[in-house]
Order: sequence, then C-alpha cells, then structure tokens
Amino acid sequence: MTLDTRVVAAARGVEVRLAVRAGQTLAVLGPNGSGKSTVLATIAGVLRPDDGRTDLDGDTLHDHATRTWVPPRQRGIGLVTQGADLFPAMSVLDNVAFGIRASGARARDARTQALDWLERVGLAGAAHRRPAELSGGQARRATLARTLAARPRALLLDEPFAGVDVEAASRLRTLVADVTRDVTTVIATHDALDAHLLAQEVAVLEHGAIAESGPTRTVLAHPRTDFAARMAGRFVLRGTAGSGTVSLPDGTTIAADTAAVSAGTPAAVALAAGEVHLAHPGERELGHERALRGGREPASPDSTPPGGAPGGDTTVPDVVAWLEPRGDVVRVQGTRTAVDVTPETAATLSPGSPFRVRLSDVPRAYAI
Amino acid sequence: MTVAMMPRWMMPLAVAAGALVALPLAATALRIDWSRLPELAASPSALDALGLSLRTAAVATALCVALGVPLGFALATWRSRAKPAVRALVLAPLVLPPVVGGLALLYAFGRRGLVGASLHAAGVELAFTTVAVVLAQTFVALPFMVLAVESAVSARGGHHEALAATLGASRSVTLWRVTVPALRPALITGTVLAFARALGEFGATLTFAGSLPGVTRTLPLEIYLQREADADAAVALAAVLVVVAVTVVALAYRPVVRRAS
Amino acid sequence: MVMGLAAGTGCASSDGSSQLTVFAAASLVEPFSVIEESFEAAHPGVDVVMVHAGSADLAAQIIEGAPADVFAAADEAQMAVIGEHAAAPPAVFATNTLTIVVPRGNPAAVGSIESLGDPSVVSVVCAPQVPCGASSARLAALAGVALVPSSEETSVTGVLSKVAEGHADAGLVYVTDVARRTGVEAVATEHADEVVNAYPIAALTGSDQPDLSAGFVDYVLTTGQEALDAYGFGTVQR
Repeated sequence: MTLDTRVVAAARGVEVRLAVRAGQTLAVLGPNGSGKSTVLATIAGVLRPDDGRTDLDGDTLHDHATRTWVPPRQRGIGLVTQGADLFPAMSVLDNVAFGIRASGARARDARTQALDWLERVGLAGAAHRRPAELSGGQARRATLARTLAARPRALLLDEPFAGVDVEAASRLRTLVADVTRDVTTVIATHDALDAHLLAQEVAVLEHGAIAESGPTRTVLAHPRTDFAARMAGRFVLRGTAGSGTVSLPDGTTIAADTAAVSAGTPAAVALAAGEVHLAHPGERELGHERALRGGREPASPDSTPPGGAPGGDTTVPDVVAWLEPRGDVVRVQGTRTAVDVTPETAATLSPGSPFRVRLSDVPRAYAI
Repeated sequence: MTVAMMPRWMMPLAVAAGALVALPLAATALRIDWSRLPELAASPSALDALGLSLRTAAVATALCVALGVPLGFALATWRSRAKPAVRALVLAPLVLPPVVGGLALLYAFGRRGLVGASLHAAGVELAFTTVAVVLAQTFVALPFMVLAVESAVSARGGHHEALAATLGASRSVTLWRVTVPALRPALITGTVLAFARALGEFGATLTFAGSLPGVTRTLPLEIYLQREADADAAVALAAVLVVVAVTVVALAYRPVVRRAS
Repeated sequence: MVMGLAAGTGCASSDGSSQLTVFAAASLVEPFSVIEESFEAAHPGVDVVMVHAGSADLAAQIIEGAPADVFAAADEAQMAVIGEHAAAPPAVFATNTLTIVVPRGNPAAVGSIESLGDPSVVSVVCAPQVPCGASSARLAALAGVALVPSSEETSVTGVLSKVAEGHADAGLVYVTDVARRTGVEAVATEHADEVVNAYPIAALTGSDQPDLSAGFVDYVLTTGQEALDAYGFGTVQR
C-alpha cells in the first residue's frame, strides 16, 4: 500500500506533500502546532482540506480537482491520536471489537478476534474493564489493538507516546515497532527518537510546510536546516570546506573529516549538544578575541576534555539565547550552537552571555 | 462534583431554594384529609383521569424523544446565521403561557385552523380527542428534550465519532453505539423533564383539547374542576399527581446515580 | 396574584380617604365597573378596588384570609363556601339565565336545545361541578334532552371561546356572556327562564370598615340595579 498525499489547509496554514512506500513507516517530525495532526486527520478523511489529493495504492481517496472524496469509513485508514480515543461507554473488549463488527462480523466472532488482539498487546486481562480504568499506556495499547483489528490498509499514529509515562512509552514503542513492521504507517511525533527507532523515512514539518525530508538517518544525522537540526536535537554549523577543516563565515575554523566534500564548496557539520563541552571559562575571553581576529586557538593541555579525540581543540564562540533545564543538566541554547552544562555552571550564564563550545570529536563534513 | 467546588456562602442559598420548593409541598401535605385520601384518590373519576394522564404523557414523551432528539441534533450541528432565531422559535413554548399555547394549537389544528381546516375537510378531527391532549403535551414538553440534547451534542467535539468512522462504522452505527451512550445523561434528563411537563400540562390541554372525562380530562384538569366543588378532593388528587411524578423521576434517575457513585 | 393585588388594601388611611376591596365574580366586570364609578362619585374619598376572578378562586382566597371587604359571587354555592366569613346573611342582587350560543352565522343550524343532544353537533357545556354546568344540567333535564358534549369546560369562558373560535357548533352560556363576546350569537332557548342563577353579595367579617362595606352592598342592591340591567342581568325588586 503506497500512500501519496498532498494536503492544503489554508486556515491552518498547512501545505504538505508526503509519500510513504508500501510497508514502510514515515515519521512526520515537528513541534506542537506545526500541522502534523491536521495532515494525519486529512489523510484519514476526518478533516476536509481546502485542496490536495490523497492516493492509497492506486485508489484516489481524495482529489480536490475532481471533487473526489471517499468518506473515512470507506478509506481503510486507521488513526490513533494522542487524545482519549477509546469509547468510554463500552468495555475495552467491545472497543476492540467495534471495527470488526462494523465490517459485518457477528458479535461473537468479533469478540473472539478482539480478544486475540488484546492478547497481542498484552491486555487480555483488561478485556472487561472500562476505558476509564486503564492507565495511559494501557489505553494507548488498547487503541492500537482496536485500530489494527479493523485491518487498516494504512496506519496513522498521531503522537502515540504523548501523555504516557516513560516506562510505558518504552514498552509501547517496542509494540509499535512490531505491529508497524509491514504496515504502511505515518507517525507524527515531536521526538526524534521515535523517528530513529520506528521510521525509515522522516519529514520535518515547520509551520505547516516540510522543511526537510529523506531517509531518517541522513536527515537526522546531517540536517540541512537549523529547524531540522533542532528537531533532531542537533545544531548545524555551515561554512566552506577546506582540507580537513570547515571555515565558518565569522572566521572560526573547525577541524572536520572532509572526505565527503570538495575543498572550496559549501559544507556543514552537525553536532549534538551532548557531543560538545563548554570551553573552560578562563579561555573564553581569549578565545573570543582570537575568534574575532580570525585566528585559530592553540591547543591548551588543561582544557582538553578527558578522552578528547585528536583535533578536539576546536572551539566555537556563541552567545546564550536561552537556558533550558533537561533533567539533571541544563541545555545552553546559543544562537548557532548548544551545549549541556551542570546547573552550577548554568547559574553563571544568562541570555546574552558569551560562551564557547569545545568540540571533542572531529565531525564529518557534508555538502549542502 | 466535590464539596470543594462549593463555597460556604452558597449553602444558605441552596437551603433557601430547597425550602422554596419543599414548603408549599409540605403545607399541601398538611392539608390532606388522610382519612379520605384513599376514597378520594381511588374514585372512578380520579382513576380515569390518572390513567389518561399517564397514557397521554407517556405517548407525548415518546414523541418528544422521537422528534426532539433529531431536532436537538439538527440545532447542534446546523451551521447557519438563522440558528439563534430557529432555536428561539423552538423554545418559545417554554415562555408562552400555556393557555396561549393552546390557542396557538387551535389556530393551527382547530377546525378552522391553518392545517386543521384541511384535516376537517378530509374528515380528520383533532379537537376534543385524546390525540389533541397528546399534541398539547408534546407542544409544551418538546423544548425540554431539544434543549437537553442540543447542549449535550454541542459540547461533544466529535472526536469519537470521527474515530468510529475510521474504524469503518456507518453514521447510524456510530450514533447508536458511540454518540447515544455518551448522551445518556442528557437523554435521561430531557426525557424526565418532558414527561414531568407533559404530566402536569393543564392550560394548553384545556384550551385546545377541552375537558371530557376519559377522553381529554387529564388529572390536572380533574384537579382544577374538583376544586370548584371540593377543595379537599383537589388537594388529595394533587398529592397523587406529585407522588406519581416523583416516583417516575426517581426511577428514571436511579441508574445514573448508581453509575456516578 | 390576586392576593398580592389586594394586600394592604381595605384600610382607612390617615388622610381620611379609604379603600374598599370588592371580590367579584369574573362575569360582573362590566356592570361593577359602572357601579364602582358611581359609588365613588357618591362617596368622596372612597376608592373602590375591584378584584375579579372565578367565584371559587375568590372564595378560597377569602377563606385563606385575603383582605376583602365585600364578596359578590356568581353562585350561591360559592357564597356558602365562605360560611361565617359573611358578616350578614348574603342577599341576591342579580340573576342570570342560560342561552344556547352558536358561532356567528350559526353554521350547524342549531335551532333548539335538542341539537345539544345530537352527536353530529359538536357541543360544549360547563362541567356539572361548576355553577354554569349545574344550571345546564337542570335546563337539559327540563327540556328532556340528554346532552352529548364534546367537552365539559371548567368555566363559561371556556365554552364561549370554543364556540367563538368555531371549534364547537354550540354551547350553553349565560345570557350576559353572549353580549360580552364578539363572533357569537344567542339562539332562543326553551325553559331557560325556569333555570335562574342567583348572584349573592355579602359584606365580610374581615372588613375593618363594616359600615362602608354594608353601604356598598346596599348600593348594589338599589342604585346598582340599573347598571346590572344594562348588561343583561335580571334585577331584583326591593
């Protein structure tokens, strides 16, 4: 089942084109409000777009040009949302049997099949409970069972792990990876981890438009846009490739593996906040001055991080944009870089403070 | 629904509200001549009237469900600038004095009425029949059902209905299995209010249907008539009406209370 | 509602003017408004307040202590209801008789009281429990007709409006009612003069101005007779 869709929802500022190959999973990666849910609801047919077209394996489900509109119940597209999806007035078993019965099966057969599905998602014991008695993770699993039990031709999962505690989300992710293996699936998520673990392809959605798309590994490891980089938990430094270096426009030179780029062409390196360190405070001013002069900072033994790789002496000057607590560390988000520091270190910084990040690895440069 | 929702100052007002309703009822109970109650309440004319009241109110309530629920859905889902006007029109029987409601029915379905004239020509007479009683009761009770359903349907986002569609369910299946169970509290409220209103209907019935024992004389009409001759009898019959109404309401509300607890 | 209107009335006020509250049957609205005016003209400083409703409603309110000075009922039975609340034995001040009433033009060609025993004629009468109904039953008995009404109304107004709207072909109401309503006409009714409904009046014990109350009663029985006659009531000789 190949899914190909173009969605235009003017009122929501959405204009997107997506394609998923048969049996594959596409992750639509974007923050809240980027239009992910609109796109999924439109593909499912529960939202009518202003323009666009959706084809599923040769069947046109929607085509604005020819006024084709297949109602959701005839599309065979399963939808799981981040909301409370289960019908509260019926038991978990009847919820799962709902789609099977709708296809014409007898109540008894539908229940038998539904129980099989509940077993598969590990919820057979909860069959006769009411949805309100389930935990968030259990409810999501039951919803998944209900959706799959209706034998959809394609599956749409809208933030399937939102609102589920970390442990349950982890189990659920394994389950989703299992059940979507051979199903044409679109997963909307704000978490790059979901894309990494579940999707072969990713499309990064920014303000209702696709900022970047392609194979998951490529897009997330070598993002071309700052937005895609941010969604991937990375930052991108763009410049010109040299021999073993990438020179940034401000004169900073980064030691890089330039095997994949030709000297003199535009190139970029992508780094994660966790892969870099805050440079020693004592060398901050010095380094900053040198950076301003366009010089390259000499290696200083006391600032080389433990286990630092060869060439890990590159530092990049930046200015704090904001500080963001993340568990036991604080993410220092600069205007072009990001670095995780301890809360004690973060206390010395505030928006506008200059800082430098030290690269402990030699990143791979890629063409842009 | 916890006490925390309710500031203390509301309590005296709540008590006052309860007293406002309870006091006249209690005063009525004190006036009842209990020794004569069985004889008065079981008189043939009282039983006739009670039986007629229960039958007509039941049919009127069924009509309110059959017609009011679709109208409530239509009002809730209809997108038009004319909607407030249509809603106001539908709810008019709530504010209309019942006697005026009876006149309005007369102008529509009476022998010389808008529709009634054609019915009369076709040999169908509504006036002075039990059908007229049911019509009058439905007319005054319908808004309760429409209002209850409309507000409940409006409050629904349609999320579950959309999901039911993606699971392959038709609109009717979705209505019966997903929407209606979710509307249960509103449907029960609407039904109980409609039945109570139909049971107590007096003015529109008197004006539109007349008052003939066994045909159009419902219990409220019998009470009004009895009062002319024997106020004790009227009070006794009123007690019967209240007990019947309270019993019906209690029976209808019981399942909801059990579920909420 | 009527109680609210009447509350605080019936007392002589400090400036010498006084208010007299009269509870009178609904059918007396027109002649009593004439009487009210002429009584006030004859008694400067007296304001007569008329409270009109069904006799049974008024009787019930008097028993519950409504501040009324005088009660004029449409029927001796309702006067009997108030019992010892009457300050003196009630006196009959007017009479009324029944007549057949039909919609203007008499579409069903009702000619006599026999028509009210004809099931093909849609007729409405007062219920036997109310005064006009009791009179109607006596009239039917005198005429030897078994009434087959489509509705037994609780008031004359109910009968009258159903006939006036063309809902019914014929009804039995008081002669005075026909004059008050457009769209209806009376049909000569045999034996009608043999069923006479008497209107009693009495000053009430609750009145704190017994002389004025008794004076009003006396006025209705004498000077007021002209106004009653003008509106079709039978008058009484004194």
